Amino acid sequence: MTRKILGVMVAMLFCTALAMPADRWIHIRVIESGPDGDHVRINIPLSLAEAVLPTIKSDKFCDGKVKVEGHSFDRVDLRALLDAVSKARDNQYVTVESRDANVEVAKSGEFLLIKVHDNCKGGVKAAGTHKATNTVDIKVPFKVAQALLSGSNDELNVLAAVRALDEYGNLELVTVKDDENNVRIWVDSSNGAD
Amino acid sequence: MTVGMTVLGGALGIMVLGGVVVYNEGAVRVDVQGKTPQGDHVHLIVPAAVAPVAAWLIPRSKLHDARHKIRPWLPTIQAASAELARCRDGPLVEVDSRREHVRIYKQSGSLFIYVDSDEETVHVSFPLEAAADTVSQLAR
Repeated sequence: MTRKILGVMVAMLFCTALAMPADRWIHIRVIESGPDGDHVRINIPLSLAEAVLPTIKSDKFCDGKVKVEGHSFDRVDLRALLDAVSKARDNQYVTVESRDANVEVAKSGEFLLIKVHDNCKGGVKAAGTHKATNTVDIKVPFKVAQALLSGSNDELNVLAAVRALDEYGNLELVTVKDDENNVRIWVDSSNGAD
Repeated sequence: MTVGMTVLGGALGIMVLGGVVVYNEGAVRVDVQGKTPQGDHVHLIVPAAVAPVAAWLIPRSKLHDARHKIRPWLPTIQAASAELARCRDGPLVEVDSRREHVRIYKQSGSLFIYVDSDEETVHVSFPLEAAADTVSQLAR
């Protein structure tokens, strides 16, 4: 009887351990090209951000919200726009192609995808004109984008966005590649840089 | 002879107890090594249990500016210390540039800060649980 009880208790502890979510970390990596380029690696647990953000009180940042003065968020109902796109079918909604840049805004499942490909002419190489391409890829869950806009018209609710981000699995958020920098921001359960 | 043995035993006991306290509670370590010919070398170890008391003993007049600067950030420091103490060990910040290298990582309940620049090398480590108490005493 005692053995059965002990076995059940061990099984319950094991199941509880499996059910407990691993803590989530946000990773930021910035690598500047060249032999003298800076390398920056930051690994922060999301729980730390959630605990610290409400305690910061400054003019531009208070209670987890950042003021974004000078932007006319009230001219366009971004919340309604985001809500409409999140409920629509997967599609590429905005495509802008120009000599300088290509911009695409699309919906894929529960994610808002923004891709910017900047085409700029650089120096002249022996074979011809060198064309450098800078790319920005952003992948944001709609819930996170909506949480970010959940404050008033002139502020971004960073704390709500961080809390919403905690609900998702491994996620590649931002990738920026240009001639000088590689920037990557992602979320996973690992506690160290990749 | 008996009195001498008693005193020696007491002293040894206090040293062992102190060692146990340092081992269990950790220590605040500061090591600064200048790289210039006139560079200073500072080496300091304070048991973490004593650090808040040491901070309390510093005269308020010596901490005037520091207190005003620290006070607004006290809730942030306390929240960060508590949360960092709970999270897993690992690297938090790594910066490598031509002029300096910075490492901030958490290991075994302590925060380690390592800076290697052209001018000096700095090693600082402290138990996270003692950090908030010590800073609170500095900001009183």
